[in-house]
Amino acid sequence: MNLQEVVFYILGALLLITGGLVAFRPKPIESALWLIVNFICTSALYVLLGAHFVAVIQILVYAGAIVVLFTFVIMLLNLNPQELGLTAAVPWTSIVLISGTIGVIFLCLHVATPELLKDLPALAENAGTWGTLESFSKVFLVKYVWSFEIAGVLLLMAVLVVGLLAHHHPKAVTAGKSLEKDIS
Amino acid sequence: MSFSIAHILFICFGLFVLGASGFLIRKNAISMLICLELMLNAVNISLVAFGRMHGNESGHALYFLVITVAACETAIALAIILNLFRLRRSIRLDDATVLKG
Repeated sequence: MNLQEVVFYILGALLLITGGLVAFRPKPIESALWLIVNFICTSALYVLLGAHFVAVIQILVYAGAIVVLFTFVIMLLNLNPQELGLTAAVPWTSIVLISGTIGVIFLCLHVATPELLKDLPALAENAGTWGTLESFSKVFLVKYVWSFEIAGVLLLMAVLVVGLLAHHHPKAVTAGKSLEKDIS
Repeated sequence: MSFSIAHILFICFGLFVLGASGFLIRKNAISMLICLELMLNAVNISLVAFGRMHGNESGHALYFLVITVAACETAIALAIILNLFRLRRSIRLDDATVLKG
């Protein structure tokens, strides 16, 4: 067992442990802070795979922007435990159903395709530049230029929609309830 | 490299199932969004790993598109949650029944 393998197994265990903490810690602020640890471990996995640019983007965009947005909203709302609904019943059957189904599908794929079990090729076989910013840009801005444009338009639309939503003021606390009465 | 794509896919599978089960059992909207991010992240790992297996950058292009969609979705969903909180003083999705028929 060489060093890469040891690092890989440690990273995998850390990813699963922090993922479990994100999913099952009761308070949202704890989930958000464990999410940062999870993203840093993901970034380390990308470095191990050789995708350096993706690792940097993972830290910058996910841990730097999205989780900060989550933390900001959680602290802005300042919820008490009663509003969080911490004492709710857990439908364990649905979890078992979902994980069992995906597990069986995964097992079938695993048995059906032994190519999946071959070791990943060394980086030198892939011309040595895989995962760098230069090679990524050459593919992304030439071959996939339309997906780049669509991403830009999508971000513009998101900015416009968030502005509209921020300007829209719901009437009052009871507005929704009177609406329900009107419908029914 | 002494680990195969199946090892990485197993980690992706574990993370995705953790996110999905968290999404199902959580009651407040922000925690459900965080679990959604966990699922998207699991898919991203598998995209980059398959790109590594085939030795091209198409997986990176898809990764870029996925994080764009994730950022847009997070911003819009958090704005909707803030409006919901102003309307109902609560972010539990059991209370958000305006669209119930």
